[in-house]
Amino acid sequence: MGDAPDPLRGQLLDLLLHDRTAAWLEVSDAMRVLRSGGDLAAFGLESAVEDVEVLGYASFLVGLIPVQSGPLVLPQVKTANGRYADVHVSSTGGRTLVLVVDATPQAERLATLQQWGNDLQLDRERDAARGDRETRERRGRAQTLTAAVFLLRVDPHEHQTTAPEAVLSLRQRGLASLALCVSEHAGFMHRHSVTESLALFGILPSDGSPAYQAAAAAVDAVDSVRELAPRTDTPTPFTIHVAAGIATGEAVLGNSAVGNSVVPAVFGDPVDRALNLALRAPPHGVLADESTWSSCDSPGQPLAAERLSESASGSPLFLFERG
Amino acid sequence: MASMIRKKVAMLGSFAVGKTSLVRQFVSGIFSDSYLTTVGVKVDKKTLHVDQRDVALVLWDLHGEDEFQKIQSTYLRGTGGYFLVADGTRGHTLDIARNLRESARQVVGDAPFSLLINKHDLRAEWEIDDAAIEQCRADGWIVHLTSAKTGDEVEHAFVDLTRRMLDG
Repeated sequence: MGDAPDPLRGQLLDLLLHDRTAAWLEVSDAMRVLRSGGDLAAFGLESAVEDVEVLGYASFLVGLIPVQSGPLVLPQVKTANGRYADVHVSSTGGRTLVLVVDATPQAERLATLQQWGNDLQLDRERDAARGDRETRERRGRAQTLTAAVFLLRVDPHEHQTTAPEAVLSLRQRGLASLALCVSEHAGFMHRHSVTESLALFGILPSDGSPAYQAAAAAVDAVDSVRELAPRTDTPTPFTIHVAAGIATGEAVLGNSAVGNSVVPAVFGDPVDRALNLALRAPPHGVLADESTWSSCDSPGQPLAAERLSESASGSPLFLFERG
Repeated sequence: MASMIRKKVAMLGSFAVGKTSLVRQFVSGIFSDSYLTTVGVKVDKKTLHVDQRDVALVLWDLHGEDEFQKIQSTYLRGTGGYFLVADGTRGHTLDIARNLRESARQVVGDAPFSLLINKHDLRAEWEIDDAAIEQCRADGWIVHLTSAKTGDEVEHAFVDLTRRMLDG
């Protein structure tokens, strides 16, 4: 556009700068100001006049000039009087040109967003650190908790006619959804361990009954998986089924080796009982045994349970549902 | 009259590790508990008298590095020395400092630098343990355990880096 008529170049400049304040400096290789112009005072550069040493007034140029290779752009530099500026620096033929363009509105918008994001991240880090400390303190001791085991299943017939990656994708999303729901509703939660189609959570008492927290979390988690649908186009529509079992009792938190890593895990009788219940639960059902049901003594959000026929051991089972 | 020696010093680190607080403590002796994020870069100045020489330090307090906002390499051009800053209470900020060391080396080569592990006033809550600190020292890093809140080790860290920039 260098060959455009002056009026056009003027219009282009107006368009680029819009209502942005700007100033400029021309500096010798001896760091002396040769010429300057624009709204210097807006950036605290009013003293950078002809023949003064520029670095005394524009300290952000220390170490930068003359620019050794190509023009340099320094975005959002906070200047002496608090205004932000995009600084463009280029050197040629023994002189350096410095263009300073106001960037305050953009910087302030970014600051608002960045502050919000950073505060959120710091909160998360603090929560995680607190959770890790609690887990370390609890690890290795037998304690009362509720194990919640979820089994995910795709109908075998449907499975045969469905792309494997679609099944895998749905399972992974199902497991992620379970983890999210349990973490949101279960108070303190020991980290889950998962395999391709099984998720295990150890839910510790925070306030109230761990069994009740586990039941409420399991009902929500099952509902969340139920609503999932395949993302990829498949020849035959298919759905994912989930069933859960919960059991309260004495268990120990520890670590388990999985592949090349060590993952937190829950050990003890409640895990076996919860797995057996999950295997017997109807699709999208959450099943508990009598002792777990009887320990669900927190009123909280109402949960109802249907008493099922006697189990093989002679004890009744309870199927939870939203009240 | 001989012109003043001027050196550009950059502050690098994750967000909320205390870079701005360290600069404020060093320049003005002020500390505030409230956290205000830095966008872009804030440039500050302080003159030190080191080994019979007056040195004007131009301090570039860069925005914190996170997954959304990476440090612009142009900010580091002309840097005479730099600080990597980590927050002792947040262990992963040391990993970020290590990554930033590699990024900085690509722009400023072997310019002198120091690692500041900040928030020493909260030492009981530190996640960065002695073994990790010793590993940094074993790697040849100069490490200062600083507190922008109390001022511990802050002045000493700046003077030490200035001396190494002058010797370099």
